[in-house]
Order: sequence, then structure tokens, then C-alpha cells
Amino acid sequence: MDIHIRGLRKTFGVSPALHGVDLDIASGELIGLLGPSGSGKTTLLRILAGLETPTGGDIHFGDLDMAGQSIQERRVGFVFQSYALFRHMTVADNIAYGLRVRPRATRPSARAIASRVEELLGLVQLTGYEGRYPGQLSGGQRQRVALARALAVEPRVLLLDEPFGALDAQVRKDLRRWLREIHDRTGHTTVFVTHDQDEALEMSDRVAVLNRGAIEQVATPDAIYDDPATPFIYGFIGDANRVEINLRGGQARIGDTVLARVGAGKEGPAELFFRPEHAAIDDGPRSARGTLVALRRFGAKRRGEIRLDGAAGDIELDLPIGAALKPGDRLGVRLDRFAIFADGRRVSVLDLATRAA
Amino acid sequence: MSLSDSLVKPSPLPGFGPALGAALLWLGLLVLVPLAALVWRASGLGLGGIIAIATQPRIAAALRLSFGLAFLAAVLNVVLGGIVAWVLTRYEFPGRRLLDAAVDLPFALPTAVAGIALTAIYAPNGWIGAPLAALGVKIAFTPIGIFIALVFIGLPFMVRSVEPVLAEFDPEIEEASATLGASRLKTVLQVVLPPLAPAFITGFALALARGVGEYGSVVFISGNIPFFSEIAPLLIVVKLEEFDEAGATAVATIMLTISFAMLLLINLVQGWTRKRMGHV
Repeated sequence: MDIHIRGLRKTFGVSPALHGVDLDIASGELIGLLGPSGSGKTTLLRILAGLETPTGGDIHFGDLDMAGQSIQERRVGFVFQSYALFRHMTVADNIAYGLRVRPRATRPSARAIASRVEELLGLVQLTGYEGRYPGQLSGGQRQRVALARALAVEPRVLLLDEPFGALDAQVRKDLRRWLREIHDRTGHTTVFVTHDQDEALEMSDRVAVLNRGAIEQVATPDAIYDDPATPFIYGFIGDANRVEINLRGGQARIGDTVLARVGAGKEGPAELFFRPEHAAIDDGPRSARGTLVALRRFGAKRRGEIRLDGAAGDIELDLPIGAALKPGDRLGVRLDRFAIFADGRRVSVLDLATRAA
Repeated sequence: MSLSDSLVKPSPLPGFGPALGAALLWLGLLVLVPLAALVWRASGLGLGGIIAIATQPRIAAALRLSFGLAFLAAVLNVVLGGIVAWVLTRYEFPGRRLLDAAVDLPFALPTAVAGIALTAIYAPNGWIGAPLAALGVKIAFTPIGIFIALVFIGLPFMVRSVEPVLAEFDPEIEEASATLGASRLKTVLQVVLPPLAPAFITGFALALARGVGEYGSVVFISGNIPFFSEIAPLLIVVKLEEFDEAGATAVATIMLTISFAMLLLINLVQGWTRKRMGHV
């Protein structure tokens, strides 16, 4: 089911948690809410579930206005970071719970419930565990039970709050891929919250990046990584270099090198961001000049620290492993892709690969 | 393989020997020796003699009254104590700290003071007793009065057993139940209360045990009418005052045996519940 969020606000006491969030989620989409702690992502998710009441704004599931709809009426599947399993019930009873608590008129028969539980145990690969108690399961197994329990009620939307936050790195990786598969198979509209950028980028159809109670960008993982809309996203996701530059006469320059033309009338200090892999050593005319300060091995790559002429602070970029370079060498740096922000707003983007500037 | 190797599971914690020794020493000096002396004294009567005393009508009536009322009072305290613990842990309201402290008063108050206060209130000329007397309900000097005194002194046991467990209860579990469509009532009955069962059983056992042996707060309000409102602990005192030491020890031994059997049973139920509720 599609979700439409308009002007959503939430205030706790005097401190605003969300101000004016707009977001449209397509039916069957898997969307990740990514942000640092305190960005409001969990608050947004809990408001969708009805666990928090918004201060203002509205939410529609399809055509259905969620205002005034109780938690129970919303039919959302919610998966908590702490699993929140009923530890005095077996795995099977946990999964069946949402069906058993229905009023008699809409409750499936005992046999229908049993076969639904069986089916879900198969889906989350826990067949044979129906008689166990949550205390007898590993963290990853518990989270799978929690997911099966949420899916049992045929939710309109599936909401996951840091679903893998309490798990080991390896288990997390497996579960991510597995959750994506389950999503593709069941087709539920799914919203999940995470502070882990790898998780968000790997699993989501689209990522919504939140910062201080507002959405900074909603885009595909590729666009979020390659084409961040704000300085915050450059800093928050992946590695990025930040260079303070000046805009003069409609041009952005580092030292004497003109990087891009910006619209006339934009003058003064600005920030230039680019990722280490989007720059290369090149002595051509479009390159900025600088001095190699240090070299470091960085996984499969070699990373160089370079001090650009006419810019404060060092930048990092990826260098060919075999390049005969040593600290102190003079070199040119060609930026293939970067973005320039003035007062937090993007004034120019350059992508040499696609020749768009 | 030595004996200690075969009987004791190895533990990484050092000091098992001294710790167990100290525990057994205290338990022995403070609990087992006096109780053994009691049983030894009573054994002079022989099993037949004890049973004969236990079945004397006045003593049997007192035992029934003591155990019956202690049981009923503990049952009521499950409800009352549960509600008080719920209010104290779930809501923030002015005076919560004060209420929290007041719960412990029955622990701290000399029981005789509590007994006299309760009697003054529930006597036919007391604040609550007078209007009730007008309706024809008599509380003081009847088993109902005893019941009220036992509820009073048992309440803190219940509250203090349940409160910490309830305070630790993860609110997300209730939220999970709500998102799955369960009404508030179903959530409380099926999700919140079952895991609290071990704590309730503990509180019940403590309140029951305290109620059975309670003397000070009861003797004033009960009126101590044989066959009607005379409790077993009082009967022990009466026997002693009559220099019937054998009779007193016999009643005491009977109470001890029943109490021990009850507590053992409750502990067994407790162990079973804990396992069922997932405290492995």
C-alpha cells in the first residue's frame, strides 16, 4: 500500500523532533530512513505505526487518512530492534498471536492459524523451531521470529526499527540480503530505520536521509552516494573531501584553476565536496595544483593526502597502487565529479564522466 | 575423583566453600536450631499425641481460621498489590514518592500499633465501623476484622515483589502486542501479566506466610472469641499462659509443618512457572 506523508511535525515538550516532513512511498517499495541518532527517523517510523501522535501534518495509507486511527486499526507490522518477543510463548504462539487476538468474527480457524504459522516458519527458515521459547534462540533467529510475527497479520505496511542493530556484523550481512529477498517475494511496502549507511544503501529501493528532524534527500542509493543534495549527506555517507573555495566573477576556483562556472551574482565563500574516488592525478589544464603530503595503504587502494595550492586543509584521493609517487612531489588533481554549495545550497554540480556541468 | 568434584558443578567464581559454609552456619544458628528444638520438644508427645491435639475442636477451628484467612488475604493482596505496583511503576503523578513510601509502613509500624489503629477505626464506634454498624455489618471482633488486618500487613510484600519486575518490563513488548491488533485488555492479560507470574507467586507466598504467623496486629481487632475469631498463634500464647507447654509446642509444630509444606509447594510451582515463562 502506498504511503503519503504531508507536513508532518512532532514536538516533544519544547524540542522539535520532526519539522515538516513530506514523503511519498510507492506501493511495494522498500525504503530506508537513514540518519544519525536524534535525526527523527525512529520518531517518524513510530508515528506511522501510531505509537506516537504527530503534532501536525497528515498521513495517508492509500486513500485512508490515518488521523484518529488507533494502533490496532492501522494493521502495520512493526519489528523492534529489541525483538520484543513474548518470551513466555513458544515461537509458534508468538507468530500466531496477532491472529488469535482478533475478535471471534474475523479470527481464522485454529487449523488456518496453524497452517499460516507453518508457512511463515518456512518463509523465515525456522521450520522445526515452533516449540522453542525465545530464550532458546540466537539473536538472528529471534529477529526472524519477530518478522514472521509481524507478517502473520497481513500488514498494510511493514515497519522495521533498526532491525539488525543488536546483531553481529556477519549475521547482519546475511539478514540484510535475506530480508531483501523476503521483501521481493512478499511485496509488502516496507519502511526501515537505520543509522548504518551500508545497510540503507544495500537494501533500499530508495533512501531518505534525515538530519535534525527534516529530510535532506530522498533518492536511489546510487543518487544518494554519487550525487548528494546537501553538504550533510557528503559528510554523513561515504568518504568526502571538503575544500573551502571562493566564488568570484561567476567562477569557482581553487587557486588559479577554474573548476566551474556558476551563475552570475553568486559571490563569496563556498564549499566544494568530492569523493576520493572521483578525483585523479592529471597535469592537464583543468587540474588544481598541489603537493603530496602523505601516502597510506587503504584496503585495496592507496590513498594520498594532498595539500592544494590556495586551499586550506588537506584532501584525500585514491592513487594507482603502482604510481611512483613520494611525499613532497608536486602534482595536479583533476576533479571528475564534485558539487559546490554556498550557504548550504547547491550552486553547481560537475560530472566530467557524463559531461554535465 | 573426589566427592566435591562429583557433586558440585565447577564454577568460575571462587569462594564457594566459605560462602556456602557461612550461609549454612547462619541458617543453622538462626533458623534450624530453634526449629529443631521446637520439634524435639513436641516429639515427646508422639505423632499420635500431636494429632490428638490438632483435632481438638478449639485448636482445629483456630488453625482453619488462621490458614484460611491468611490464604484469602494473600489472594486479595494479589489484586490490590498488583494494582498498587502498577500505579507506582506506570504513572507519574504528584505524591507518587509519598505513596511509594507509605506502602512500606506496614513493614515498619510495630504490629500492635497497627492492630490498635485498625481496631479503633473498625470498632462499632469507629470512623468506618460506626456507619457499617448502622448497616448491620460488624467488622472488628469478627473474622472480617482479622482478614482486614492480614491484608494490611501482607500488602507491602506483594507490592515490593511485583514492582521491580513490572518496572523492568519492556514497553516495546506492549507496543508490539498493540501493533498486532490486540486490545489493551488482551495485551495486559496475555502479554503483561503472564511473565509477572513468578513475582506474584513470590509476593503471595510471603504475604501468606506472614499472615499465618501474624499476631500483633490481629489480637486487638479479632476479639479472640474461641471457635469464632481466635487465631492459632494466639492459642499458643494462651497455652503458654496456662503452663501447657506441650500443648503450645504441639500447635507450633503443626503450624510449622503446614507452613513448610505450603512454602515448599509454592516454591515448586514457582520453579515450574519460571521455566515456563522463559527465565531459563
